[in-house]
Amino acid sequence: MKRTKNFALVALLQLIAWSGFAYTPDSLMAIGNRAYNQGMYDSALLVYNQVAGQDLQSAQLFYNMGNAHFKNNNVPAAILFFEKARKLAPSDENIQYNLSVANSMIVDKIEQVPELFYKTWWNYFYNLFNADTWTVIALFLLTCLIFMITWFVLTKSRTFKQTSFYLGVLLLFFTITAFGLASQKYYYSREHQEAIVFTPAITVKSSPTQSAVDLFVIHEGTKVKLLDRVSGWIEIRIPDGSIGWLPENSVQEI
Amino acid sequence: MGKGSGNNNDVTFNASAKEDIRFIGKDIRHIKTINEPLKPVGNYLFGSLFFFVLLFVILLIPFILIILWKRMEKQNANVSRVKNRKANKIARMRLQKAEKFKQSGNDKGFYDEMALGIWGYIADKFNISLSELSIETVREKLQNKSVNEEITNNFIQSLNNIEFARFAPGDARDKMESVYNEAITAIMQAEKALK
Repeated sequence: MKRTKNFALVALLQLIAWSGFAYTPDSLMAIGNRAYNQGMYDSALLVYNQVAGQDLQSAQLFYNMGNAHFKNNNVPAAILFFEKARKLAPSDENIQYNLSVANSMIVDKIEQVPELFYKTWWNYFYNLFNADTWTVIALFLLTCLIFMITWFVLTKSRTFKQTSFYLGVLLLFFTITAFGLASQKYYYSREHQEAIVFTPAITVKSSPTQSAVDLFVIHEGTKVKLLDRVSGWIEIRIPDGSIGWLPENSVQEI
Repeated sequence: MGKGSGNNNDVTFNASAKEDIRFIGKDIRHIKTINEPLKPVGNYLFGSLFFFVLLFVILLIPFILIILWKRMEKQNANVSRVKNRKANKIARMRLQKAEKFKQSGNDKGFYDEMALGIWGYIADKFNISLSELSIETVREKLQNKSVNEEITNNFIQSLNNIEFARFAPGDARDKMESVYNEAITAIMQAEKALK
């Protein structure tokens, strides 16, 4: 019974592969999920890729792709997609959990440079929502601020003037913060600022040439920050603060 | 002594035989099966045309509100100015009406109209509603306009007399006459002082 079911699914997947965009993205997601549930991770990835190939994205799609890569024992790819998913849904607990599981299976153990307290706070709020949500919050706060200013200008009562002044100052602070977070999140989401190493082991060089001095070795699955790009080479920084150059094709951008 | 059989039946139930949960494997969590809406890649609210339109509209709000507010204030000022100018005239008309009631023997109508005339005068003059008026507010308003003590007192006296006569039964004709004259002088003096 199971075998015939699997066979039917394989036939269906073949059909999808040939027919291209005949299916709606939502039905493709459902088919991919079904393939995953049956343990056919390659087929699931094939279908998920069809959705991603239409320039569509969602946290769910990247999360499921990460899961399928993980089950295929492709840890760096799993980390890549979990990171992509986390970019869209920063506070999703399942994504964070799976990412930490995947991260526990990589070779490199890098000491994180301790952050300053205000940076920790900033990052806490920063990771609370995605770019669009922060934008909506910022616009909402701006609207409140504008109303408060108008109230301050128009009111004749002393108490109301005082109240609206203090509330206005508070709102101004919050609005600026929200706009800061929204713009930072927007640039972070749009630009590729991080990448995952895909080569099993690679030497980081001191300059963007093959003959440069070897600095240190990193392994697949490690997340690096992108700093610069020079003809086929990228400058990277690892979490402990070390900087060096890698060939561009050894990493994939998040 | 024989050896015990040592089977499990001898073990008594122990209520505290609880164990910590033992984790025997670690795995990632399952995929998300409930479909989320898929969005085009690189489609952000921040920096989009819609974002700037929204920003523009939000920044426009105070100007619209202030313009509307100013227009409303102007309208209110117009209404109160007209009322202020006509206060004396209306009060006189009411007193005349009261006089007619007096002649036709309608005592209640006379006092009601007198009260309305003198209270209404203050209400129109200072642009406050009749329901907010009291002897205290009248005194306060007149003093704020630096009307002299005697005129203020006369006015209050007249108000008091009308109110008193209104609810005191069985009064003489000549009392009505004095109340009427008092009210007319009070309004005349006030009008002169408030000019």
